Amino acid sequence: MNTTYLYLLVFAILVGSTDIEVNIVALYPPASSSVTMLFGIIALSYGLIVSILLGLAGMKALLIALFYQHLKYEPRSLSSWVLIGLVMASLLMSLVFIQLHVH
Amino acid sequence: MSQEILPARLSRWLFTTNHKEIGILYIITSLFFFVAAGLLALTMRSQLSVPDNNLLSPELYNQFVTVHGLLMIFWVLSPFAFGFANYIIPLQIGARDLAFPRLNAMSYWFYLVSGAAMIMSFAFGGAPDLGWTLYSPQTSFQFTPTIGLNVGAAGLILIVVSITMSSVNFLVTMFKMRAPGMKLKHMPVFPWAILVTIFMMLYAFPSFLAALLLLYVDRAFGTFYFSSIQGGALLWDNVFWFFGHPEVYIVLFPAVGLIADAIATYTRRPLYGSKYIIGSMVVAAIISFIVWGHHMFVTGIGLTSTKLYTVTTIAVSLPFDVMVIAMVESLVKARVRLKAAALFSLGAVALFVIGGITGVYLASVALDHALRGTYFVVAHFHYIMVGASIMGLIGGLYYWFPKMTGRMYNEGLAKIHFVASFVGFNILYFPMFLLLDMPRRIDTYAPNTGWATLNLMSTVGGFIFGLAQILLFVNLFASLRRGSHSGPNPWEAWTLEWSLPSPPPAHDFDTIPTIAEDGTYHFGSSPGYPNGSGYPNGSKIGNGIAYSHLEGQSPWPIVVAFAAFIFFLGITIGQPSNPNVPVTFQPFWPLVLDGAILGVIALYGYSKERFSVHEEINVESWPFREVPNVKLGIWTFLGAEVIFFGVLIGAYFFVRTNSPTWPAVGTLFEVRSGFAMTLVLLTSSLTAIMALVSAKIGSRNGLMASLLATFGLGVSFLYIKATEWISLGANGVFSVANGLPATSYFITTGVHGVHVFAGMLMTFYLLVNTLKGRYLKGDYHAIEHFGLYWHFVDIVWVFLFPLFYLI
Repeated sequence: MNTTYLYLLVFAILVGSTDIEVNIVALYPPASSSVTMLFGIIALSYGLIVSILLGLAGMKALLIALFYQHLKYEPRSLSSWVLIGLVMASLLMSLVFIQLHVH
Repeated sequence: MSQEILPARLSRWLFTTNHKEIGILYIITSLFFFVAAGLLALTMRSQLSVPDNNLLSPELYNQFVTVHGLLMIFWVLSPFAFGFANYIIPLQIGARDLAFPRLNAMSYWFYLVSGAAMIMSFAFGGAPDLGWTLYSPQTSFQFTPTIGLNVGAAGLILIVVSITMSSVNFLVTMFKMRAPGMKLKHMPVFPWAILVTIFMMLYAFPSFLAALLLLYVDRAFGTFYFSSIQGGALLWDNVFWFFGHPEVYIVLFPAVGLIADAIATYTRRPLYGSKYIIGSMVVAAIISFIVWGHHMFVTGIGLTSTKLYTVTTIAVSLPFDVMVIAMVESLVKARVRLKAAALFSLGAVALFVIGGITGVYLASVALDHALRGTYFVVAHFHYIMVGASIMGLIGGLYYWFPKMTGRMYNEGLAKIHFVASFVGFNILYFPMFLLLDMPRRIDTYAPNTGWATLNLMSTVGGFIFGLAQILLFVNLFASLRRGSHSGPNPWEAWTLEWSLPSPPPAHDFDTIPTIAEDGTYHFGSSPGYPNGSGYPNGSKIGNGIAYSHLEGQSPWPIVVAFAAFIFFLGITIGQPSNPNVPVTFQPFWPLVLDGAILGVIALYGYSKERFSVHEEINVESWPFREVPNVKLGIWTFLGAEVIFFGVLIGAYFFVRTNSPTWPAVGTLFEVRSGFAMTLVLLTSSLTAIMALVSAKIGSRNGLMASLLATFGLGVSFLYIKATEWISLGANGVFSVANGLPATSYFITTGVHGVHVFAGMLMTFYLLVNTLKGRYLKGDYHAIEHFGLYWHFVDIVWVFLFPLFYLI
C-alpha cells in the first residue's frame, strides 16, 4: 500500500476511535442504576466503559507508534527497548494500586 | 563565540568535548564534593561526640545531615564512577569517544552547576533540612518556608537532567560504537556494570524528576499533591522510592564492576564466573524496581503489599550472593598482588558482605519495625555506600591513575592510606550497629542514654577515615610530577585500555582494534607518521573527531548549562518565605529572563555550530545495527519520558482513587474542548508524517506546507488549551490551588503543554532551515527525529484526553 494512503487510513481510524470515545460517555450508567443496558442485552458498567476508553486510548497510541513512529518497520530490538519503558511505568502503577487496594 | 579570547589552557578545559578530559573533570569535581560532604560529616560527628553538645544548632545540624547525604549520593558516588566511565569505557570498547561528545560536555557542566546550586542553598535562608529522602509533607511550604529548599530542588532537577543526558549518551555509545568483533560478551565487567547502571538510571531518575516537579509546584503554586490526605506522604514515598531503591544499586554497581576487573588483574587469571556476575547484576537491576515498598513497611501499606515486598527484597539479595561468591572463588589459591587497588577492592568486598547481610535483616517486617530510623540503618547503608562503593572507587583511582597520567603513585603511601581508611571506617561505622536504639537525624542526646561511648568511638573513627584521605590527595598530587613513568601497562592487565600509551593520545586509537572470537584484540598496521599519532598533522580521523584537543572544542555546552543554572535560580530564589501567603510564586524575573535569553542564544549557537560526528562503519553494534545513533538516542530519551509521564499520570490515579468524590464527566471540562484538542493534535501527527514523506521525495513545497501546518496546529492546540485554562480560572472556583482535581489537571496538562511548546520551537527551527533548502531527499533525518518526538507528545495526549475529560 502507498505509504500516504496508509498514513491517511491510520488517521481515519484515530479520528474514528476518538469519535467513539466521545460518544461512549453518553452510555455511563444513570445515577439510579449501576449499569446501562445496550440494545437491551449488553450491560455496561462504569468500570467496563472506563476499560473500553483506556483500551481505545491504548490502541490509538499503538497505531501512532507503529505507523507514524515507524516502530512496525524498525528492528524488533528497538520496539523491545520502548516496551521496557512501558513495562516499568505499568509496574509502578500496578504496585501502587495494590497498595491502595489493601490500604 | 571565539575561543581565542581565553588562554588556551583554560579554554581547553572549559570547551573540551574529549571524553578523557571530561572524565578527569568529573573525577576532580566529584572529589571536591567528596571533601565538602566529608567536612559536613565530620562536623556532625563532632556534634555527636559528647552528649548535650551545642557545637551545631538543631537547624544547622539538620541542614548538614541533608546536604551531606544529597551531595554524597548525587554529586559524589555516581559522578566519581562516571568519571572513570567517561575516561575508560571508550578505551575498553575500542571507540574514539562517546557518541555525542558535546552532549557529554553539557552533562558535565549541568552536573557542576547543579552542585553549585545545592551548596548555594545554604545562603538562601537555610539549605534543605529534611534528610536526603525529602519526606513529604515536611517539604511543603507550610512546614519548610525556606527558599533554600527550592534552590536545592533546582540543583536536584539540574542533576537529573545531566544524568539523563549521560544515560542516553553512554547507552548509544556502548550499543553502537564497539570495536569490530567486540560483542557484548567480550566486554569486561566494568562496562557491563556501567551499562546496567545506566539502564537503571534511565528508568529510575524520571520518577525522581516527576516527584521533584510535583514538589516544586506544591511549594511554588500552592498545589496539593503532597500536602493532601489523598496524596500526601504515601504518594511521595511511592514515587521517591521507585527511584530511591534502584539508586542504591546505581551507586554500587560501577564499583562492583571495577572491583571484579581489578581482582582479575591482580590475581592474573580470568574472573571466576564473570558471566554469572554480569547476569546477577542484570537480575538485581530488574528486581530493584519492585522492592521499593520495603522502605514503607512502617507506613501501614497493608499485609498483601508487605508480603510482596518482603519476598522481592529477599529475592534481590540472592544475585548479590552470586557476585560475592564469584569474587571470593576467584581468590581461592590465587597469588594476589596486593597493590593498593587490590587492597581497596578486597576491602570493599569484605565491607559489602557486612552491609549486605545487615540489609537482609531489614527485609523482615518485624525487624524493620524495630530498626527503622535508627543508627543500625545508618551503619547498614554506609557499609554499602562508603564501604563498598567509595572504597571500590578509590581502588579504581589507584588502578587507573597510571593510565590517566602516565605516572606511578607511591605504593607504600597508598597502602598506608588503605589501612588507615579501612580501620577508620570500621571504627566509624561498626559502633553504629550497636546504637540500634538511637534514632538517626537527632542533633544531640542526653548523657543517661548510654550512647556516649559508642558515639565518641564513632567520631574518632570518622576523623581517622577523614584524615586518611589526605594521604590520597598528597600521594596523587605529588605523583603527578614526581611519580616514575608507568609505561602503558604497569599491572599487566588484559583489557583494551592498557594496550594504549599512558596517557592515551587524544584520539585514543591510531587504528581501531579488531576483536577475535576468543576475545583477544589485534591492531592493524599503522601508517606511522612522525607525530606518532598514526595520522598526518591536521588530518581528521574515524568519526570526525580531531586528534588535536583544540579542534574538538565547543563553547556551547558550558553556556547552555550556565543559562539553565541562571534560569532555575531565577524561578527559585524570588519566592517570598511567607507561610501565610497561599500562592507564593514570584520568580526573580531578571534572572529568569536572562537565563531564558542566554539559553535560546546558546541553543541556537549549539545547533549552528559545525561539529559533525560521523558514525563509524563496520563497528559492532548488535542489537541496534540498523538504527542510527541519533535515532537510538531519541528513542532512549523517549523511554525515559514514558516513565516521567507515567509517574505524573500515576500520581493523578493515586489522588483520584484515594478521593471520596471527584467531579463528574462534563461538569468541569467541556468534552467538546478536549475533543477539539485531540483532533488538532492527531491532525498535527498526520502533517508531521507528511513532512517526512515530502522530505524523502525531495518536495520542498510539500515539506514547507507540512511543517507550517504542524506549527499552526500546535499553535491551535495551545490556544484552545489557554482558552480553557482562562475560562476555568475566570470564576475563581477552579484555580491551580483549588483542590486535587484542579491541581492534577493543571499540572499534568501544563507539563504536556510545555512539551507541545518545545515541539513548536523545533518546528520553527526546521522551517527556517527548510527555507534554506535543507532536509530534502537523503538529508531528511532531522525531520524524522522531530517526528518521533512530536508523535510521542501526541500519544501522551491520547491518554490525557480520556483520563481528564471522559472518565
